[in-house]
Amino acid sequence: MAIAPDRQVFEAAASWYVQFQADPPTLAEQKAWQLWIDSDPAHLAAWNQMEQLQRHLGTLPPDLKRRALNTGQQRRQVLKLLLLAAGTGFVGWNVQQHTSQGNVWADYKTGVGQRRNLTLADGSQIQLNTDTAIDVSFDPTQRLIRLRSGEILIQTGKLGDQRPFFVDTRDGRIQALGTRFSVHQLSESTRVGVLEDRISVQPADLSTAAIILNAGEGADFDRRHIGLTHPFKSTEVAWTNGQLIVLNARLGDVIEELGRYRRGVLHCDNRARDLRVSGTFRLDSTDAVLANLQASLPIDVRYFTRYWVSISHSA
Amino acid sequence: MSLPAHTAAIEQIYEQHHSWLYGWLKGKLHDACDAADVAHDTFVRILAARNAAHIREPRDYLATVARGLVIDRYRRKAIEAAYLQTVAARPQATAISEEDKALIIETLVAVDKALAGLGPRSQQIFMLSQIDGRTYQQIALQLKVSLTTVKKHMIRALTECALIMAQH
Repeated sequence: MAIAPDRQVFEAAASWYVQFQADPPTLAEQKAWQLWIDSDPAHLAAWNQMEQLQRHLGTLPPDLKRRALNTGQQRRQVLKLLLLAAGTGFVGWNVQQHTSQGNVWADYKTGVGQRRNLTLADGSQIQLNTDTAIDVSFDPTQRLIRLRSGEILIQTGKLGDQRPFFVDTRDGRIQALGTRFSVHQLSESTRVGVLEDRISVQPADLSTAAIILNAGEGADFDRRHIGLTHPFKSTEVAWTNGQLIVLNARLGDVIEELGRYRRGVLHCDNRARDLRVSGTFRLDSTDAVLANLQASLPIDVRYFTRYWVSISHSA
Repeated sequence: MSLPAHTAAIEQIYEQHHSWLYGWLKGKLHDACDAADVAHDTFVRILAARNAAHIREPRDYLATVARGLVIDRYRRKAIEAAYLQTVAARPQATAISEEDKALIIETLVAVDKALAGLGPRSQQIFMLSQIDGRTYQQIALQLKVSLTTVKKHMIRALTECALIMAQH
């Protein structure tokens, strides 16, 4: 026997939905939403109901809509209109908008799921990973890359250019010392990793001397601190070949990583998050990756819309 | 209430009022099969409610539940007809599975029911959002109301729709 649904919980679920549809969720809002979902199974159930409603209304093809709009809006017609309109608007907010906003004027950028290779005037090569934006400014005194968002792998030029080569992020400045290295702007910090030679890292608000990272080393830093140095392997830039390689990683981390390559929300419940996974995954077909994960792990992968996928522990 | 008391009360109501209910429905629906279905569904609904021993006026109660079911039935028929019309009017055949069709209709019945219980403002805002695909901001401008008002009506409409779906 079903328990009578709680109106307040449904109202809360509807509020989240409307809020997300009005404005793309910020990271903080996504976290708050996640907390709400995790705090009570009834919350998840109400949210699922909301998504089911959206999904069913979104099933019909949109070309039917035009015909319907001529038919007036009497009560009886509502149904017909709804039938015809299904397939428009209800499928959630336009997630496209929030990723590249603020980067409209960047010199070079990639969309979600895209990659791009650049060769600069000095022969340096830059590979841009998914959802990345950079500015390039070379002048007589320096070569400067500004990483606005996303992740890049840099191979500095071998043409003997003597000008210093810098990468600026929100958190500070990295100087290349004849090298191949990766820079990733995270939400609260910058992650760097060195594959060849060395780099120096200078957090923006730290006045002490820059620290040096050698090949095979990586670190996270923000404006004030540099974290402990950790090993950095070439598998961490497997994205340059369109791959994600993980060894005994938390499923939650893998899902979060996959989420960078597709639009919308990939939601993973708490129990599924702690499962362990190893493998090589194709980044250009994340749907197939999700299907593979479902085949090999005790998880259910459910699509509410193309832009909202929920992963839950099935046991 | 204990389950045996509930079941016993229903048995009693069934014996005393089922044929009255069936006759009353036949008069309304002009179709013996439909009337038998609705009468059956009415008792299923009461069985699920688990409060049969508290029913004081069985015929009023039966009629109220049955009336709701009849309205649902009309609603569903109207929606099914609209659905078939829509699909028939399409140039190419649309491949929608029976299962999807059932789900779509189920959803529309719920949405229709929810909208029927809402004020004209909420109906209008819901339709502008869902049919015309307007953003909340556009709706607010068009209706000369605040964005907060638009969101409030949307939350109300979505809550009702989801509640009705959850109860089925």
